[in-house]
Amino acid sequence: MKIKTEQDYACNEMEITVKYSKMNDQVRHMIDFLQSFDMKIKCDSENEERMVNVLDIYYIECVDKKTFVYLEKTVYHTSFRLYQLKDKLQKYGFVQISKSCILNINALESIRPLLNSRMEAALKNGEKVYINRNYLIEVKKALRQSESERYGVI
Amino acid sequence: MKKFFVNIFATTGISMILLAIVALLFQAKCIYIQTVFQVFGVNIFVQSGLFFINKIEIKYAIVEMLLSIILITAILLVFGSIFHWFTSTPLWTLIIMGLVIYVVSAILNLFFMKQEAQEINTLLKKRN
Repeated sequence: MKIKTEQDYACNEMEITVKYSKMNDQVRHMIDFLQSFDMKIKCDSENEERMVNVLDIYYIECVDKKTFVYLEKTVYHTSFRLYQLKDKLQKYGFVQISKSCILNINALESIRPLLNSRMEAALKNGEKVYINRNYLIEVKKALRQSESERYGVI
Repeated sequence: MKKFFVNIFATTGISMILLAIVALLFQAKCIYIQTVFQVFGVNIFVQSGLFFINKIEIKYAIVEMLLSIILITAILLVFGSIFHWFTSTPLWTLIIMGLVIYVVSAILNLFFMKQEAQEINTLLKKRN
């Protein structure tokens, strides 16, 4: 893969061109990844609205029918329902880990098993979330898929 | 699925060994062949029940543990009555055996979960 960069002072908005001979999973993953830089979710915090970049999100949790978006150090509320965000963010590396939580696997540092068949997931900011055993397959699938798209290996 | 069948056979094996130890303590001379199949059948029911409990997302681990123990005790009481186990084995013995089956299932579960965790951590190391 060749990467070319070109500075143009007249350019108002960054433009990225992806040249490929054949559309495959690797190309799709590249495009999804580039799109994720621009993908934002409308959130609010203390009566202030904010557009949060999905790459900055660690996990999203639904508590008492309210959806909270957790970043590295801050928490926002969003009017989106969890199932809507799960569908929207699946291609950006978000995977459901329990009935009320979806996790950005890029924020995952390590996991360890607990006695009651759940897994404790340590995130890069030191926070811990719990992965229900019923969703472990999805987490593994997301990690393997991301690895195969990254290295072009199936 | 593989885990489900491994659990059934493992807990059946442990149950038979426990039964043999209890029988020895009560100076019994033999265990009936039908007992082997009865124990196997009960373990299938117990593991199936635990399988469905695992499918429910229970918030508190202690609640899940209590539910599992109640399920095992209930199955033992029901099948104990059907197979007339209480004529030869005290109730408390059966309940202790049930608890042992639960502990063995939990240990097996933990073993499988550790393997899964290792696999996921290896994938995470490759990414990072």
